[in-house]
Amino acid sequence: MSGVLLELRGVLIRDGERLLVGPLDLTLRSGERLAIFGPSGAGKTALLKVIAGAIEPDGGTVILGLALTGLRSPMGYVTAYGGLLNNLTLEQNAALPAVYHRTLRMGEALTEARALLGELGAKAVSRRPSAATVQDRRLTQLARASMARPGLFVLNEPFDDLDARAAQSVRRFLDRLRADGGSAVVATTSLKPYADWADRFLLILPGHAKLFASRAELMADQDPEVRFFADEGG
Amino acid sequence: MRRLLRRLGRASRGGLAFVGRLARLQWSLARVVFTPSRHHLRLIAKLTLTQARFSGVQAAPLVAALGLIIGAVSILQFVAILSGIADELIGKVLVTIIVREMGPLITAVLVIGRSGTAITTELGTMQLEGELEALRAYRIDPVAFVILPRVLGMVLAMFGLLVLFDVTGLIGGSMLAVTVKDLSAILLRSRMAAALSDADFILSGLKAVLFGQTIAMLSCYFGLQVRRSPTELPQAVTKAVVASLTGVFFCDALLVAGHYFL
Repeated sequence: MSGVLLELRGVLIRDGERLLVGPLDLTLRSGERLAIFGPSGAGKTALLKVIAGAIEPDGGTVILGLALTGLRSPMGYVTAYGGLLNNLTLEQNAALPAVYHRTLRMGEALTEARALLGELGAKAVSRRPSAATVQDRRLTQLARASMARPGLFVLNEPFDDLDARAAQSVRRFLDRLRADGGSAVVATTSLKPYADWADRFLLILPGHAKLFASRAELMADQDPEVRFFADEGG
Repeated sequence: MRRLLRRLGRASRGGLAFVGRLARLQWSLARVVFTPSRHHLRLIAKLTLTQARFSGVQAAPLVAALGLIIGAVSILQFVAILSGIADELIGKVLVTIIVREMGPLITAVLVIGRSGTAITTELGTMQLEGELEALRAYRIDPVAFVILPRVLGMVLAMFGLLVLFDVTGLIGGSMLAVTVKDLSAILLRSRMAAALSDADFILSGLKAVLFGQTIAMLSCYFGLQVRRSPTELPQAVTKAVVASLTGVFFCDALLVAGHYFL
């Protein structure tokens, strides 16, 4: 049995007084890919932030497994919006985790980051995020996540607002991640790009959540609410 | 009466919560300063110099011009009030007004208006854009990477600008005194040198460090309080300016009182 990467125990997430998620128990194992789906505003992004360690949950605990605690940067986090430092260029943003955690000199890290960005298809990498296209910003986030050499990729709507070429790059990135046996959590409103990619599925609805151990289990569930979001999302 | 007490209670609770949160931020900063990670030092040093360049070097022409003007105006006022009575006091007056009081305070006000507001806006925007969240997810400590360089850079800038203001203020005042009162420049310089004591240098240095640190910490603190909406930004900047001014005047009063009474 592969090792536990991450365990959520009774995690609660609130938006003011309103309960968004929880109490949620979830275990992620090495090599697993989990797709979190559901309507907008249900708490997918907040849950993703908790998993990435970007925010603290309002209750419960997030326990990192041994495979992650040994890493300086256990998570490769890609946000749906913003997330890049505006006082750095795209290539400097991509190089940052390597400079901070892998003690590379900025020059060495930049060379590595440029190669990775080129491979992903990002173009104007010497621009700052505020002057860059949404495609280049998203590809930079993927490059930054890879530069961190994380144990778990945490991706929020990686296909959102992308043109066909950038979407193809993201697809290749996800397929390579799968082929390499990488672990990932993806939040999405549309299940279509992840139907064959993910191993497990977590439906987040306002106030409650439902976990599916496989695509077959998801497809077999006849609950109208589950069917609506699973089928509407492709 | 009960309503008044309730209001007082709420205000005190808010004040205590503010002090607590600020102390926690200060503690996090101290922890980073005293347990530095060697391989982060180069990166932090680079960011510190960037902040010092923005807050210090780029503000230098403005501070120098203000120093010249305020030095000259101070002597003009002194001469207008005490014409012919106390020419021998001009050196001492310049040192007292410029070095002991006006220099640190005016420099601090300029730094608050120019750099403190910029820091609050920048950190508030970083919060809204998810930049700090991303740093946390990548285990890049925002205190070490974002706040420490700003505090160190601000202290360096404050120190440099204070020296610049004092020097240009003394030059401006001297030039006017020499021109209007027909005083000997050499005599005036020796009087100013005699009026300057070791305590002035120590007090100026302390003020630069304390003011720079206070402004940077409060500016960062209010920037970090921005949570959800861009409409919070102007409110955060206003609070940062008011708190920084209050903090600077409070520190100044404490230092001056300490100097005279201890």
